[in-house]
Amino acid sequence: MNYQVNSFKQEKNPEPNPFEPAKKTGGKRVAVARMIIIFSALLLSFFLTSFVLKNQLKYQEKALSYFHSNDHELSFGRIAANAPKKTQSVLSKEIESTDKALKAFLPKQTYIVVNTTTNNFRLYDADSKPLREGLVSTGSFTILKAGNNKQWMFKTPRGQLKVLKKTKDPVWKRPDWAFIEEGLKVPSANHPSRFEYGTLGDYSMSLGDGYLIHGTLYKRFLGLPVTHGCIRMGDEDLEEVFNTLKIGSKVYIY
Amino acid sequence: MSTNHVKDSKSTDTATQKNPVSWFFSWFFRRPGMLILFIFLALALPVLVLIQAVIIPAATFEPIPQSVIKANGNDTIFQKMVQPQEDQRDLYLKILNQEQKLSFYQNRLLLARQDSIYLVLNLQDSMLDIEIKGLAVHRCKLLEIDASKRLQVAQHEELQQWLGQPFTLKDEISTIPKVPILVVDAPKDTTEAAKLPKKPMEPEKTVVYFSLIFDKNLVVQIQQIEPYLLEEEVLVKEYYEKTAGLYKRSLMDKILSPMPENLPVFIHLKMNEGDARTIYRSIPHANFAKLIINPLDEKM
Repeated sequence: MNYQVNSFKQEKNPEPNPFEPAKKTGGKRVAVARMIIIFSALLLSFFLTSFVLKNQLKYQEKALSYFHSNDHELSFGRIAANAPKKTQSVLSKEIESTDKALKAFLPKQTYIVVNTTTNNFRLYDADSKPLREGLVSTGSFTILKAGNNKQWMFKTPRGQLKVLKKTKDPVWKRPDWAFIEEGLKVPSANHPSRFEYGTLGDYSMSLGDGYLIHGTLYKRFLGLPVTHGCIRMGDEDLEEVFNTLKIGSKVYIY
Repeated sequence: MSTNHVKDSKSTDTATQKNPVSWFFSWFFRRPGMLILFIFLALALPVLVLIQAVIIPAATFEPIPQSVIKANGNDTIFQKMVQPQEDQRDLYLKILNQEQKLSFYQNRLLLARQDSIYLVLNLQDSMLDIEIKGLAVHRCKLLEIDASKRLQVAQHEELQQWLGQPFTLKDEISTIPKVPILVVDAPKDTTEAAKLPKKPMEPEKTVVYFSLIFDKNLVVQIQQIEPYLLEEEVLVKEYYEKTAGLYKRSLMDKILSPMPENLPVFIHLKMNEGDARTIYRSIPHANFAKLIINPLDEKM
């Protein structure tokens, strides 16, 4: 009876120590199983570690909010030590004067904004209320190489420019590149072949350095970057822009 | 009945022993010691790395690197802490927000005086503006903003010093060219000129993802909100590889120096494709492009 009980106890609790050497019966199989378990645990450990390290930045960002909070205590200490009411009024005055200085840069009369990426324009009145918008053609970003280290880049200048001169029925005096890109010989400075009538449309506004806002014969290209740096407009848009902008009006190109 | 049961049991054991996989799992799950060993081996290292490389550095990290603050010439941060009463707190917060506003205006004024195109990131209005001489010539609505938590948890004093001067662009990575340049050799004669294509190039419509890497460890990543086409996947993959390459660190570095001081402060922005393209094309090349940030209002 005793023998039977002992035997039962042994069978009921067959849990071996994992570090105990495998028994003879099926020992090889158990040893392999242990190896598999240890190997897969290490493999999983490796994957989890690399996952943590791969997403380290993301986890650090999340952890930051648990450990840091902006309670302003240091800033409050500084403010409390410097007469807060007075500080507030000084700051208000400084904000006001900086804002005033900033507003001094804004246009006081009608102006135009040209986007060279989307090739469109917006015309505004002095209160920045939009008056008209439409398509333009701007610089093509073509580099024309003419040999002898001579080359031109056809791009529209960016930044704040001004209308320097307004002309009705402008005549285009063709520069050297206009001949070179057509495979023609460059004529003398005032040769009659340099002067073209009607090419620039009914109006032009000079922005300096030879750059103009003018009309075009190639209306199908409006909205595309095809020019040699000038800003081309459709006839109706050009007329309104010409009549609205004054000499000195700001032209913002970006 | 009992004899049959013993027979069935024996046949099941034999079947389990014949199938090594079933035998393995039944053997494994009957041994808690083995299970504990497995869990310990699998989790010990990742948990240790999580503590060493994430939790401890995050707890001790200065959100705004002190070297950047010192480089700006002001390292005197008031050391006395004060917890104001309820009625004073509103006034103090107003002052902090006024300081923030003043700094933002002063930066805008500084750049308005220069003849350049610059970016104004206004986190309060969720707008990114292109400004020329104080005038916002193009306003982009930010459809998604994911700014680093470091901007939220940083002390007002440190943040003000970090934002106190405009950021200068150092480098950029993009899926689109900055300028779509076309080089043409001048034709020798009119016959050759006639052969040149007369139809202008259509502007490219490829996916717009770009990273602007500024000084003071700031990286602004902008991408179009519209999904990209399948054929653009390679372009996007290349872009991500390039951006990942910029901050690639070895596993050892990640463990030994988990949060280096030059860790970039990321701001991810999503906007319309047209706006993203305009922003990238408009801003000047590195060192000439500037950015100013108006952070969120200080709140308790």
